[in-house]
Amino acid sequence: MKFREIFRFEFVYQARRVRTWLYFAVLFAVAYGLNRTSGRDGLVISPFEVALDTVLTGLLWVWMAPAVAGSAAARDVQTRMYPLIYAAPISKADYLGGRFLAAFVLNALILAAVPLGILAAVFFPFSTRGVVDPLRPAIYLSSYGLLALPTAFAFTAVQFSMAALKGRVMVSYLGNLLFVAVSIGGALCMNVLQMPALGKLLDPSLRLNVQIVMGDTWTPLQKNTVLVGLESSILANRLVWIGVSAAILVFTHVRFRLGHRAG
Amino acid sequence: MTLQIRGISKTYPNGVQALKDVALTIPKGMYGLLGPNGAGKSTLMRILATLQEPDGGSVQLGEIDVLKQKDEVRQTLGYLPQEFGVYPKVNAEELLDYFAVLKGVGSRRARQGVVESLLRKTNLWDVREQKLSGYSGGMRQRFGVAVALLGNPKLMIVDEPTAGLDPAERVRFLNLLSELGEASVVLLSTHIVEDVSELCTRMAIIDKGEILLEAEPLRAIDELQGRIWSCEVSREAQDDLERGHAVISTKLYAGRTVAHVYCDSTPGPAFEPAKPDLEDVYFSAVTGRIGRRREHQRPEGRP
Repeated sequence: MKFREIFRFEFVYQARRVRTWLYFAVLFAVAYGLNRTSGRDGLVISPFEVALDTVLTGLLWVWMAPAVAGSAAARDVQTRMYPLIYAAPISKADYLGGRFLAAFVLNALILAAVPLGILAAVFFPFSTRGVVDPLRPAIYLSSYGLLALPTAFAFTAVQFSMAALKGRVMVSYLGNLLFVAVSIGGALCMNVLQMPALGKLLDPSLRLNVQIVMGDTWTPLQKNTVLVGLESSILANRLVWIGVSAAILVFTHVRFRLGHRAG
Repeated sequence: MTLQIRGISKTYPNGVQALKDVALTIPKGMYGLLGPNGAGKSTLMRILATLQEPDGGSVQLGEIDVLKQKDEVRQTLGYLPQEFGVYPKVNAEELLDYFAVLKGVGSRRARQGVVESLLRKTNLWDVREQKLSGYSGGMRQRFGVAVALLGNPKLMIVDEPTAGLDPAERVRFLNLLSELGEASVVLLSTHIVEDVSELCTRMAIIDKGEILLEAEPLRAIDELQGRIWSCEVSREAQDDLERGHAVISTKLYAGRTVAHVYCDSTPGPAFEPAKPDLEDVYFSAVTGRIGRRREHQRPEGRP
C-alpha cells in the first residue's frame, strides 16, 4: 500500500510538470525529424534505422534523465521536507523502491517518444517520405524493449542512487560523467586494446555496438531484416548493465538512512 | 505511557558536544523543554524522533526501545521539526492525504475524514486547494502541525513550534497541543518561556547539552519566593551591579532597565522583592543559582 502510494504520488507529481512533457516533445520531434524523409539505407524504414535512432536520441535523453531521477531521489532533502517523511512509518525499501520505480517509469515514458516520433513520421498522412511503409511492430518493440528500456534502467539507477546518497539533485548529473568515462573505456578496448568483446560489454548507451559495429559491418540486407537487440553481444551487454544497476540499487538501499541530514 | 531518557550523549564530528548524559522522565501530558538556541534541544528532539543516533544512552517509550525499534516508534509518533519545507507544486489537501497513507490511514473514506478534520483544526480548510508554494511561513507551520497530528500519535514531539506563528495562530496551536496532551506524551521544545508556563505541567531546562533543572513549573516558581529582587539600574551602573550581586537577568521595562537579582535575603535598600515567574526560574538555572549547574559550582563538602 505504501510502496504503491509513494510510486503513485511521485509519478503524478512529475507527470504534472511541464518539464516532463517538454522532454517528451523534444525526443518526439527529433525522432520525427530524422525520419520524415525516406529511409537512409532503403526506401522503407529498417530495423537498423529504428535501432540507430533509438540509440542516438538516447544520447540526448541521458542529459534529461538526471532531472527526473535526481528529483525523485533528492527532492525531499532539497525542499527540506525529509524530516516529515522520514519520521513516518515507512520502510527504506518502500521509499526508495517507490521513488526509483516512478523515475524509471517516467523515463520510460519519455523515451517512448522516440518510437512514437518515428511512427508519426512514417505513417502520418502528411509524411513526406513518398513511400508506404509496412507496419512492423516488432522493429519498434525490440528497439524500445531491448535497447531503450535497459539503458533507461541503468542510467536511472546510477543517477537516482547518486542523488539519493548525496541528497542533491545536481549530483545525478555526475552519474553521466561516470557513463562517459565507461564509454571512453569501451572505445579504447575496442579500437586500441583490440578487445572488442569487452568494448561491446562496456558500452552503456549501445552507441558503439549499433552505430559503429553494426553500422560498419552489417550488410544492407541485414540492416533491413534483422531485429537489432537479439544478438548475443547486445543481450550480454544488457544483462551486464542491468546486473550492475541492480547491484548499485542494492548498495544504495544498504547505505541510505531515513535520518537527519547535516548542513 | 512514559518516555524514559537515560544517559543520552551526542558529540558531532566537529567536536561540539550537543548532549551530555541527558536523563529525563516524561509522563503523559505536556512537558516543556526550555533552553536557549544551540542548547541541544533539536538534537534531542531528532534522537527521540528516530532521525538521529546518539553516541550512548537509552530511550524507552513504554515497552518500546526507541533507539532500536524505530518502526514501532514511527507508528505512534507525531513530529514537528523546527525547520522543514514542503513540495511547492502540490496543494495542502493532496499532500496531507499522501502523509495520511504513509502514516497508515488506509481507506480512502477514512483519509478524507481525517484530512478534512485536520485542515479545519489548523485553519487551512479554506486554502486547501492553494499550492503550498503560496503559503506563508505560519500557514506552512500549521500544515506541519496537521501532518504531526495525523494518526493520533501517542508520542508528540514539537520543536520550536510557535516561532513562526502570529498570536492567534499560537493560541490555536497551543490549544490543539493541550488537547492532545490529555492522552499522549507531548514534548514541547522551545526557547519561549510563555509556551511552557501556559501549558506544561512538567518541564526541564537545558543549556549547552546539559539538563540543568527538571521540575514542575508552579513548584519551581514557588521555590523562588523571597529570593528574587528587582531594582532599576542605569546602563552605566549595570557592570557594577553585576560585579556585586547575582544578577540573573536585565530587561527593559517601560524604557527603563530593570535587573533581577537572586539572593536569599535582601541584597540592599535599593532592591524590592519581586514576584518570581518562570522566566526567573529559567534565568536562575542558566546562571547557576539553582539546579544542576549550582551543584557543580558548589565546593565539595559544602551544603
